Amino acid sequence: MSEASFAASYWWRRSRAARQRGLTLLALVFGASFLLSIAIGATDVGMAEALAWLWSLLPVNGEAPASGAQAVLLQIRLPRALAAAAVGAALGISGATVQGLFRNPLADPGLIGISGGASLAAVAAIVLGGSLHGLLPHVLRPFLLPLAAFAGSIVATLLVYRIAALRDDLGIAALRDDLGIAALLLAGIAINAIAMAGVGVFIFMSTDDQLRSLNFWMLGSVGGTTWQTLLPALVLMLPACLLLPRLARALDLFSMGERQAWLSGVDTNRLRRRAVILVALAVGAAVAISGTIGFIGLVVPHLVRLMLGPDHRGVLAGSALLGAALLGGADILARTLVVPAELPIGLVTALVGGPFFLWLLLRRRGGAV
Amino acid sequence: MLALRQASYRIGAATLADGIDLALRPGEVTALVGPNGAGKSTILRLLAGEIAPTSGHAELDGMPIAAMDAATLARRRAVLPQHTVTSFGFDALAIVLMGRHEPAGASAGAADAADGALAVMDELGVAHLAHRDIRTLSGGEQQRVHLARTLWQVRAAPDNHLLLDEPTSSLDIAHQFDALEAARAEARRGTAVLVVLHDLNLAACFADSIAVAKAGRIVAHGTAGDVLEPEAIAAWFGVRALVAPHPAGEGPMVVFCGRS
Repeated sequence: MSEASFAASYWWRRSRAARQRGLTLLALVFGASFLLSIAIGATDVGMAEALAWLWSLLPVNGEAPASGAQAVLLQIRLPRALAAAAVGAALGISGATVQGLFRNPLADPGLIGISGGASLAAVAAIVLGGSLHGLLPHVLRPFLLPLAAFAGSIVATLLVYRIAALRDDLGIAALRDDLGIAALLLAGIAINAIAMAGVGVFIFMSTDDQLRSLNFWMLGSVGGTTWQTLLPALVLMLPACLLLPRLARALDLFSMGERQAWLSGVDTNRLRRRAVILVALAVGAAVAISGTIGFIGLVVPHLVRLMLGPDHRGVLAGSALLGAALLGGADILARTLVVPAELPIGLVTALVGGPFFLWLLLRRRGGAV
Repeated sequence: MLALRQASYRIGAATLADGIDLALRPGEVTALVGPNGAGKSTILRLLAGEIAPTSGHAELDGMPIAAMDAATLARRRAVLPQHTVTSFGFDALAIVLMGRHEPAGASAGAADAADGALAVMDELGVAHLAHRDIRTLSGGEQQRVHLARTLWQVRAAPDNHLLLDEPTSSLDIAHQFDALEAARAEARRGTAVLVVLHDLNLAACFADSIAVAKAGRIVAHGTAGDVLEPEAIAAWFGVRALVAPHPAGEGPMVVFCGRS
């Protein structure tokens, strides 16, 4: 072994260990953010008490004594904290996946039609809500908006995927030079544009009241989360968080281009299909319970790459952790900054995150991002 | 053995490859030369399994390549395309390690793999670049890193196949020798090597046989001494050339004198 490769071997071991430490740090940050979002609110309970309360929730620890504060924690604070964490994790890991798939750090899950479809369906549900109610079974009526948003995002994503796949079938991508992903991008842009035009039509038709709730939904919130809306969404987000990390190695190879990835043994069609389906389910469910929240899916993977390097094993897990931590933090700000009112959480992520991200870019000017 | 038998590839009205017969023998370096647009890259893509012949056969050990999936093919052949653009700032060692697409969770051997990949990088003189962001390396350095990646991939199994598309295009003369020396050393380990080249002298120097592509066909295939004739070179490439015995070697040497 030469001196150069000996030094490189040492460097490699150290940088792997550093990545592990970075992931551990992100997990701790997430834990702290989660505890804080349980502890802070209209009735402050303190970190230690919040931790003790969470501990008492575990079935093995027996019944917790019921009190007024604990009812607030269980019925309001906990589902809300879980929603922020789950939505943040889903947006973060999905953003990282989509950026890897499009080989572009500026990509976000909205590119494959998710937010366009969800917005159109949600706006339709708000504006046409009265007449749509009759079509739903009684038990589902309170969930009209999340159901519509979820269905809209899935339909739009499938449409985008089918259109892109159609191009493949026509043999346009026969030479495998990144055309599959380009087709996905083009179809996504087209579907998003059409959906946004539809949103414009509904906004034109809406009353002032409808416009207000519509606006609030578009800016996002985890405020009204209840166990009834949270649990189904969690079930849909969980597969993404568990299965997307398995695509890490293939996404690494994807960074050399679709052709090179295929030559190196990645079934690129299957990777694309799996990634799109898992992201659509996770982000569709996230949008359904929280509205459209910008910034997390775009910027969190960036921050994680700066911290842990571009290896997707680190980026995917790290983006889930940091997304959950940051959205938890954003929600704390959203409900404490203008008490007794609440800010939309999307506003907070953009207002705090945007300038922070700019500062980060300018600070690193000259270095590669 | 990787082989094309009467393989043609047509797309629309264009015939990019026409009745190609080409077999890569274990332990040998085959150079594929020819003017621009002769179909060299198409032949390479047919061999790699990226495209299936529209008529004729492409076979790996007697099995049709079209029936094999990407992972199976990647264990039996490695391909170095002309250009690879990497998004995201992977370090050079990470790029070389990508040569083997191992299933997730095989992290126990990760340190061994890194040392193995570094040994290959050492052979190509790029071990000192292992920690560098691939995007900040010069074109020639990137090309050597990617060559190291393909060697790392091809050595995962014995009796493998290595397809190199102009691996010397952005290298200085010394590194051109290094790269082709590495390809020849790989052949001596039992690998079948195909290398697309533009430099006839390098082909004569390093290849066991030279195949000449012209207008989608293989118009000649043999040893450098058999293939490199002044009249034939004029007909294929449109240049006047003198061919003389190499003053310091065994094979022929080509001197170009201008357009014919």
